[in-house]
Amino acid sequence: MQINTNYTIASIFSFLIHASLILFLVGYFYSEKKARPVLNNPIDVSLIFEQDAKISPMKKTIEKPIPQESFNEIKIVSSKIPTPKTNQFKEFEPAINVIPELSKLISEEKNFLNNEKINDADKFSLMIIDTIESAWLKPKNIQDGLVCDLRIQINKNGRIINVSLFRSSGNIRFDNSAIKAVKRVETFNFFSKMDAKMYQSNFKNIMLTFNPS
Amino acid sequence: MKKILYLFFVFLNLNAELVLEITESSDNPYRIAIHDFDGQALISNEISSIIKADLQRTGEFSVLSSDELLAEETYQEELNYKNYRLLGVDYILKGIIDSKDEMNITVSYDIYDSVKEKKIRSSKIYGIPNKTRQLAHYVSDGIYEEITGLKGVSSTKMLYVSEGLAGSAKVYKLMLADADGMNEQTLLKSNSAIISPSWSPDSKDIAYVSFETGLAKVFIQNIATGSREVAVKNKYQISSPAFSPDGKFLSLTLYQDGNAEIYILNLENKNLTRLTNHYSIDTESSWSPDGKKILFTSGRSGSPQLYEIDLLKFNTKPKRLTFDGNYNAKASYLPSNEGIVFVQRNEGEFKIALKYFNENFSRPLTESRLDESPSISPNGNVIVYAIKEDKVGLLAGVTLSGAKFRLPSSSGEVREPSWSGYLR
Repeated sequence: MQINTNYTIASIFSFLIHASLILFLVGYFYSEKKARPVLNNPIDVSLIFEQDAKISPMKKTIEKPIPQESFNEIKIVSSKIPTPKTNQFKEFEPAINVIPELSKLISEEKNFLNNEKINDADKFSLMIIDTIESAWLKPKNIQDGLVCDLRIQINKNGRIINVSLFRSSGNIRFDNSAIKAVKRVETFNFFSKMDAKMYQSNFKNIMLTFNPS
Repeated sequence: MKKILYLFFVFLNLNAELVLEITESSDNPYRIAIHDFDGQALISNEISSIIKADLQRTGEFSVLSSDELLAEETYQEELNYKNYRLLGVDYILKGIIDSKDEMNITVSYDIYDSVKEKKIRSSKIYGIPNKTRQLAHYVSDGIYEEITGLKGVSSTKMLYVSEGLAGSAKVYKLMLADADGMNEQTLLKSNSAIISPSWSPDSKDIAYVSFETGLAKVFIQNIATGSREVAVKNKYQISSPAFSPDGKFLSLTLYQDGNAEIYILNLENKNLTRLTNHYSIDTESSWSPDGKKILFTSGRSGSPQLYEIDLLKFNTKPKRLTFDGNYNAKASYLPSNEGIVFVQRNEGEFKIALKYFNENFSRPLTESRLDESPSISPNGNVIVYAIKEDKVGLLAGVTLSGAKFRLPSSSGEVREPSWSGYLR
């Protein structure tokens, strides 16, 4: 009996050890450490050389506020419309046709005004991309398909105060060339034209992706 | 406190035969301002000039000396980073050499980052007076590593074969020198040919092929003691030795089956294991950095091409790696295991080429016409190779970033360079 209990204890332990080993091998304990440091609304600025591709990352930020604004606008307009009675429906038909058009015009105008603000952010992002692009020399004899991410901190005068490698490409020479480019830029001289709010929300911390493909 | 141990080699012959010559620089170097070191003028001049040459030879630095800097900068205690940035300087080096004590020489240096506007490294190195070259190499490796993140190779060594005439007889010498070509030392002198020198992974032993017995035989020689032995004692021709990364095996080419095949020699029990079996020539083996694969040149497709064999898989067919050009040979792996470097014949010209495993084309690295026997530095950034100029063999180097240099010799021909591993 004594032996039996020993055997059961031993087999339980053996089972536990083997089970944990199998779980380990299967990848059960593997959790991706997504310890992304908290950023103050980072903007992904992609360094891509094609003209249309350059603008694409910014579209996200532009598109979001527009439907919101236009939606609000429609709401306000529709609240002004007196609720039509069912028998009066025909009389009101042309009016309904006019009102959406009007609301559309108003919303377009508002969008235009908002766009100017957003375009500012867009413009500054493009300027940052251009500045870094012109400072960047891709090293010779490196593989194709390398991508690395840098985090940069900029003070309100436009001076880069910190550059750090966020995601390495795996090739140290490629990473170095990206860091070198950012460091050589040193100061973005157009930051003086930027208002404090935009700087705080968009340009204090920037994530730069170097993707020369 | 870092004490450097220069116990690896004993140098008796200090007269330098090789002179460094930088022929082309990288297109995007770091600009570093090196101020003259404070201290006894003779020693500090020597040390700072070696450091400058070392950094320039890496191809990744463009050095500004004190005389190129603004005069007031040189003597200021506080660095005015803005002025340096105006000169395009990325890093600033300042150092002091203390050689008051006859037995010791101390180099302290600081590296400043002109953009971060702060000191990024501060080091103190101790050495002995008649080893100033090594001391300077050690300093430049520290600077290189701090800035590029890669280990420096200035304090590594190189093996090569020199061929000259003594009277009417040909003399072959197996030579050892610093990576900059200085501190030459003869390891072996012979009237018969010496070929294929290579290093053990700990850089304490070397293997080479000597024809002194009439047959090609592989010898293993200890550098410190000079004692040597024949690797395989039999009646067949043996060539192209290469140590495995763990130092326990030696891959060889044996001609005992009528044609060249690759074998692996266990250095402990001297057992030979055959790796390839094909009626065409298989030779010039080299090991992958993890020791799991062997790369070799084979004529099995009709022309010399590179093949890779996986040592962990039993009985696998060698995988062909090169498909462009009708001649690809003498290959070795990059230390990062990202690709291979080899000799490629293209339109009748022999060039050193690089091929990454994830790319289906090769990248030529050199432009001369008869380049051969490439050997890669331990940090994978520099490739030294043999060239022919006016029918005389010379050594040249190219960095991946595009800088080129030559190590011309004043006496005889030099060829078959082989770069050591890290020595510290």
